[in-house]
Amino acid sequence: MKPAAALAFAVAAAMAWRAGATLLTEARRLAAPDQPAWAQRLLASTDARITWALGADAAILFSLQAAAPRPALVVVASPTADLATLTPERFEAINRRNGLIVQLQNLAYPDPWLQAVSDPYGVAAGLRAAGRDARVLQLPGDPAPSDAEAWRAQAIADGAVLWSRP
Amino acid sequence: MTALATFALVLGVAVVAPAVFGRGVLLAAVGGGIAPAVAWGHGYLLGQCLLAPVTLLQARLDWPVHGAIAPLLAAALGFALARRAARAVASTGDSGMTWTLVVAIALFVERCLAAAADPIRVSDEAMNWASKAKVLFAGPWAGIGEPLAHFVSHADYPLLDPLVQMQAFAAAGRVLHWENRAPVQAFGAALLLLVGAALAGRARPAVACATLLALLGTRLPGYGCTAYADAMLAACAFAAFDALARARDGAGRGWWPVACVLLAGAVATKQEGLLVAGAVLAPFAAERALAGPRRVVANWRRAAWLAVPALAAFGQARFIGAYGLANDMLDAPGRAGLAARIAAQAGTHGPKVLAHHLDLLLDGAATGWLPLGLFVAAPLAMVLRGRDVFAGVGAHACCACGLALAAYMAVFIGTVHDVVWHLAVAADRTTLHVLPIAALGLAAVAAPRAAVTRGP
Repeated sequence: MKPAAALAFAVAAAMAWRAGATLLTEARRLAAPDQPAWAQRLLASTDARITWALGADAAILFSLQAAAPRPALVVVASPTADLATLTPERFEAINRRNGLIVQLQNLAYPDPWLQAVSDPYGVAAGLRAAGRDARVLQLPGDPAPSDAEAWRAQAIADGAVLWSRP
Repeated sequence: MTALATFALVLGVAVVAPAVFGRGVLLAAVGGGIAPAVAWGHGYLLGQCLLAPVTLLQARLDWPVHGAIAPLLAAALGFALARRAARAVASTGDSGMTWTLVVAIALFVERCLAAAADPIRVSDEAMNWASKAKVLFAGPWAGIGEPLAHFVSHADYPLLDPLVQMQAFAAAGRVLHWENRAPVQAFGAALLLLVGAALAGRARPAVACATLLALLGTRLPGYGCTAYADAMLAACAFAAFDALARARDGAGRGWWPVACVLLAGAVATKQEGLLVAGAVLAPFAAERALAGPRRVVANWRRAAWLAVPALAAFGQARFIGAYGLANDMLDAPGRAGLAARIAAQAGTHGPKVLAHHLDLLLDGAATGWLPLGLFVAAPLAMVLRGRDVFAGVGAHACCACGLALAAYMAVFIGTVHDVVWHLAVAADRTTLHVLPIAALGLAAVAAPRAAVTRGP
């Protein structure tokens, strides 16, 4: 065999191996039981897709969008942690909460625009004083405002409250 | 409107209309005589690159006109242009490749539809790309500064990906959450068409088909069925390479302007698009320069088309400047410049970056051994066949991939982040940007198609 033909044969063999690996991987993927059904891919409404993705948390998104005026800025407490006292459980909880906020932000925008801040009640009060309407989303486990009497509370979903300053 | 009807509307306005427009422009520019896979593949990319500035202008002016009007008018223009131009030839010229392409695209589309079950909600596709499209679409333009700063991650990234998603929003008249992947995913389908057609024209049939399937088995299609911009950049870079090769092969004067528009598309897709565009252009420019300075001077008018990618880079810089945005690698506050960091960190980061990239090249599931094969086969072919190798595209592909990967490695060496983390989250994607060029180069250099020595 000439050297140029040997090179062509070697590359052909390598590519045939990779092509076989591709077809095997694709066949396994198509046969996997976790593939979404065709109805889910083509016919499901966007709300149904969001519900599949977020599970029970989808109720927070839908009720937030229904309750917030348009346009609206809503602030929520960003997850924080002290590295010195961070436990694996606390890390997992922060990770979960951060994931939820990111998903709510991206699926809600622009109505409402949800921003994560370290002091949501202070930010919302400051914006209100400056003449801008801003609400606070209190997620399950978040503290209520210390001056709750100065705020109006609207329960929007299981454990979630939307706070506004009159 | 039902989900299926909205999706069909998005496909019509944001995928089919740009493809019809771009195909017409392409046929008018190059005069026909090309396979349908080439016409539709290049046509889609060209159409999106040419419509994006219109979409941006519409957003900039807060135009009250329905966003579907411009794509549909452009499609009508493309249809008229295509009717006047010569007809495309019947097929890729190889029934084996035609069937391989059918299988590859069917598998890719199936993956795209599976991805559609999940809305865009996490990771870069939500936080970098879809978020920016939503901000630009929701407007008003005068108020986008605040959400760009506080809602969009990496708002400094270029605009082509958000602009093609905006077409999906414009079709429906509202922000969408999964349908807007479709125009981005179509870049992946166009890429498969172009790679298949180029392989059929430049490599022996069996090697061409196997190489296309090998490319399908890399991580590239996985990113191609998301709204990430990486498959878009790979598509624009490959299409520009293919157009440059056709221009060099004398397939028609129109391929050079087409290549410049596609290079602009690469520049407007990701920050590193400028780097990839430069690497794609370099071997062709070097070949032209080596032919003698007289030829370069005689073609200065044609060189003026390079103003198109330059304009894309300028427009991007203006957008960044207007909103006070900064790139974490180029404008890191309080840090030395990128070049200075590369020099300072070469000793500590260099070996880690080199080792990580070597692992990637050896990882068949990630890169299909395509760049590795090219870097081994191209020098061997030069030794065995001499200057003949330069008649094809293998040497050009080897040079473009080598330059791009070397430049990427230099950027990783100069990172402002933890280098191990940065490599883990980004190196595989950057390598994917040149995988299609590596696939074509490998097949063309190792098993060149005997009947065709100057392109399909």
